[in-house]
Amino acid sequence: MLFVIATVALTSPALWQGASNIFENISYYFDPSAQRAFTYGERHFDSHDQKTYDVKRAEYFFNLAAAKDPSIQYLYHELARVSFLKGNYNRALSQIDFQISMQGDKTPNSYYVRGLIEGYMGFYDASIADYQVYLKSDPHNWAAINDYSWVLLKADRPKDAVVATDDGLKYFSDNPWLLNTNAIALYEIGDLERAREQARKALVAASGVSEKRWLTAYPGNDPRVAQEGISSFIEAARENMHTIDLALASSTIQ
Amino acid sequence: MSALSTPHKIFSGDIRRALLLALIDVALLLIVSAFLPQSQGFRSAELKFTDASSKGLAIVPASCPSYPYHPSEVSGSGCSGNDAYVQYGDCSIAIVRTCGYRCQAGTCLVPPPIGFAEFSATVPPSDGGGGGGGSTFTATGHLQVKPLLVRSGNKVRLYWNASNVASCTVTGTNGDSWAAVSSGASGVQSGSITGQTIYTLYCNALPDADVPYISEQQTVNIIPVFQET
Repeated sequence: MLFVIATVALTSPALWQGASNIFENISYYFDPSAQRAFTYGERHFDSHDQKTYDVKRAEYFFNLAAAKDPSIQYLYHELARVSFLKGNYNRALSQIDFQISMQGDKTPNSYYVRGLIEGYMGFYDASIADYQVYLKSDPHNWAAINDYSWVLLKADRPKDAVVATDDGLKYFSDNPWLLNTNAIALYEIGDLERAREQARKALVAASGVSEKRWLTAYPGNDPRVAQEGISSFIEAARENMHTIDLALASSTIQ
Repeated sequence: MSALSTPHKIFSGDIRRALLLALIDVALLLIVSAFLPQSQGFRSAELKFTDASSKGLAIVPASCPSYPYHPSEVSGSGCSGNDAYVQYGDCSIAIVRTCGYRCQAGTCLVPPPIGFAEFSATVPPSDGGGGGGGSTFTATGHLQVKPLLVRSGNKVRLYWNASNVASCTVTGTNGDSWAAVSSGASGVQSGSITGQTIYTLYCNALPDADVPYISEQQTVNIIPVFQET
């Protein structure tokens, strides 16, 4: 009987996680340190581990850590990411502002996170500035180049977006996000032929994105929704290609 | 009743029955919960986010660099033009170096050694006398001077054609100097030769070459003048 119970407990993910959580709670009870809380928060904020991913529990532990020691490196960066993922952009912005004020240049990707939050909030000029700061430290990061080009497009600077994505594609020639944004930028400046070529490549590349790759592109997201994210991306690329095809056909007729 | 039979009495009958029922309850609870449906997953704000461009296309941002810890393991390498780079994780690359010759699969290739290519050379008609003016010949590509024996005050013509080099210079002890990897088909004309003149070809190899340079010399002599006394 005990053997049966143990086997069921070990093979059931929910029970395993429940047991693990109980163990964490007990461990934290006996050692309620900020560092332990932060470590547990990180454990539950890992997109590549479906068993432990739990954004609510991650936020719980990050808040515990913040109450005891707000100076832990990346703590407010992580809190800002959680708030951003939950759609609470105002809180995310204040948390990342606090992170940057405390640790500034030691955590350059906090500028990236702030750029991302500002982009989602429509503060495109501020976002451009923060992405530029980040790109100085990591000039060949495809996602930073992609997102920088996104806010350039939104700030009505499509030529700059073409330049940025063209540069990124030198190193990541089959990256679907860069190809998609490059296609859009080319479309915006009226280069329909190149836009169509890039949009088609983007769709092909997007169709080959694995769950692991998607979760790397969107860290902090629940592994269980990766396939949904991929489908959404493919659909966006397909719609873009369709729109560009129509525009090109229409311009040919004229 | 002996002391040895007392523990048997404590765990006998009703108590054992109660413990067994409790274990069965727990077991059933565990089995049932194992088959409970898992939650659908947390849907973040960026899951399906797209932002419309001014002409209505869907821009799709990513958020790779938001992860605080840069992966230190190298996941790949490659070339962009002559830039050799390594890739960290899936998001970032670092350029290791710019290759002087060529990049392949993330590594700088060793260039081929300095070479000399034959070519069809001409001696212009104005180069009369011992220079063979108005003729053609097959130059070896190495430094050649025509003629090697001249009267004082005359000029000579130099020919060379190096390959797989970054740069070449030809200098003469009479002050002549040229910077070129090839003389061209008609060669280059020297200044006046008034004494023995040594011409030196010096070529720098391409970066990363095994042999960094090469040097050759040719000596031009003056025809002696005999004077009766």
